[in-house]
Amino acid sequence: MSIQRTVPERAISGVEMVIKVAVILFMLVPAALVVVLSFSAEKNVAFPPTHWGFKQYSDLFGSSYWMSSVGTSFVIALPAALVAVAVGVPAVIALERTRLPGKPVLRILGIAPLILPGVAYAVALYTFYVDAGLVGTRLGVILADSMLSLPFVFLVVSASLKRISADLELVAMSLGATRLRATFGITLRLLAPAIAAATILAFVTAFDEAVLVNFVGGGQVITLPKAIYDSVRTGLQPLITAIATLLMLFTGLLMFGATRWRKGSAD
Amino acid sequence: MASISIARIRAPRAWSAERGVRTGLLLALPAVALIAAFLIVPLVKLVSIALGDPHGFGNLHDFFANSANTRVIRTTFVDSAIVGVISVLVGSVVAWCLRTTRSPVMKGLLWSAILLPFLMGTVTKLYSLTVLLETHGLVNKVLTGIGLRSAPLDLLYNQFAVVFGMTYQMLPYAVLPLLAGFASIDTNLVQAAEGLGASRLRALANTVVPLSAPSLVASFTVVYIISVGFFLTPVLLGGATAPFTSSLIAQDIFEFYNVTSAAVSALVLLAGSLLVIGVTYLLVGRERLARAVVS
Repeated sequence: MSIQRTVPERAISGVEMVIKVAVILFMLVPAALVVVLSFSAEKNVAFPPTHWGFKQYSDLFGSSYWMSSVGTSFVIALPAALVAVAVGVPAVIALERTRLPGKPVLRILGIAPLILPGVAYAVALYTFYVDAGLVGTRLGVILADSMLSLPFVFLVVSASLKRISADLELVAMSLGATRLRATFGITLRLLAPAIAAATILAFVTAFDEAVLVNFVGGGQVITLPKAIYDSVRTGLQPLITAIATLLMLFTGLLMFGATRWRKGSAD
Repeated sequence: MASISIARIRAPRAWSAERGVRTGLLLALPAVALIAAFLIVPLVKLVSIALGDPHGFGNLHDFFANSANTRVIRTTFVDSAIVGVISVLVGSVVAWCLRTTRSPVMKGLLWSAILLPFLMGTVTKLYSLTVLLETHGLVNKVLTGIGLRSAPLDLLYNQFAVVFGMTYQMLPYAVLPLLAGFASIDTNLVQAAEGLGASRLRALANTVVPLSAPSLVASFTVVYIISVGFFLTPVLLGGATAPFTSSLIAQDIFEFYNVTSAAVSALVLLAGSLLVIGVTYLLVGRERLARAVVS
């Protein structure tokens, strides 16, 4: 009996080990590969490179096409994140702190863009944009991206607001503060770190968006992800390794900031 | 909690922490307006195009009468289900290991494996997978280098590449809710079962699996519905030879200017994912499903 048990036992822990190693390798290798290749001085993507240097980085910063796509991405992602926060935060306050009717519906609709199949939502927006004359406009892409960022504002801010006691406002009012002052001075002040974290998440989401811009951008709005998409469709440009590396650093720093703020708001 | 009960008991006047309906409507108005204009109106428009000219509901019939379309739709749903199953299976091994391992090195490696893909942009992720899988890419170099293969494998622009790429992207999304689901399970249960004579597999199957079944179902659903809507991965990794509904839609809109057909495809995807969400809802309830989406 005991021998019969140990053989499959060993097989199972073997399988477990293989899965773990495979996951670690397959998840980390692609990222490591682009970072290494970004320091190759080759004209084509080749592994292992024979010449090393900062050629990809200087090519990237010397290209007006890529630089302007980075600029477009900022011009679109920043307003998109701000719209999502400006619209989302009051809605979350309404959900958590008022007797608003139909709360469950608003909660579901608020995170719906996250759950809907991406391409189906893109087609829906496209058909609507054709009628509204928004195809190929920056405004159109900004509003589309803000819809995609809205769920993160809903999730992050409401999780934080649930932990802030509503009675604190009453305490402030009993000490003579007006309702408005109590809301701004107490609740919004305690909520500030969560709002900052939500803004970052919304920005990262909008900055990374590449599906909606393909449909509603009409080929005229070229954000960084759209430019990379166009480039990968036609071949492998080595310069993208430099973009990928910088993007990882940039997103890493932003996400680090967002988690720190979120943690701060939990205390 | 206390504040809510006080608010309920006393009259809804001044001293309640919860504010009235009017303030609520005012605060929610901008979000409601944005959602109405950019979510509800577009979805209504999509349905009205899909079921409108030229044949109304006949459009659906025309769409499915074309065997190429049905094949693509079937591929999409089947591939997404495969991605869901692999992600949940591999994801639960990873999540269970993260829950139980005492080795800080293993923990650190697994956490980086799960979180690093979040830092790479979606498109750059696909770029790096292309670099990895191409004919002269790293995988083929290694395979031919150690003599496992004499000729490079075709790893790109086929169904394998699409499933691989989608799994690569969805695995972190599967692990996080599974981890949340496993967190409430007492790991001593497994040891207790083993102590009573169960094999490790049987111990896990009789303790962890039933306790985490709702999380398993919920994370499968999340992976499945996101996969169904993937656009970049099938286009960039699958190419023309491995058609996915997204590629079909892009072709209809940008090459054939056939918005009706694209709308029908999109509607089928929506219906397919709503169906799976509905079944999951019935199986595990709203709470679990919401938690899988949130984390």
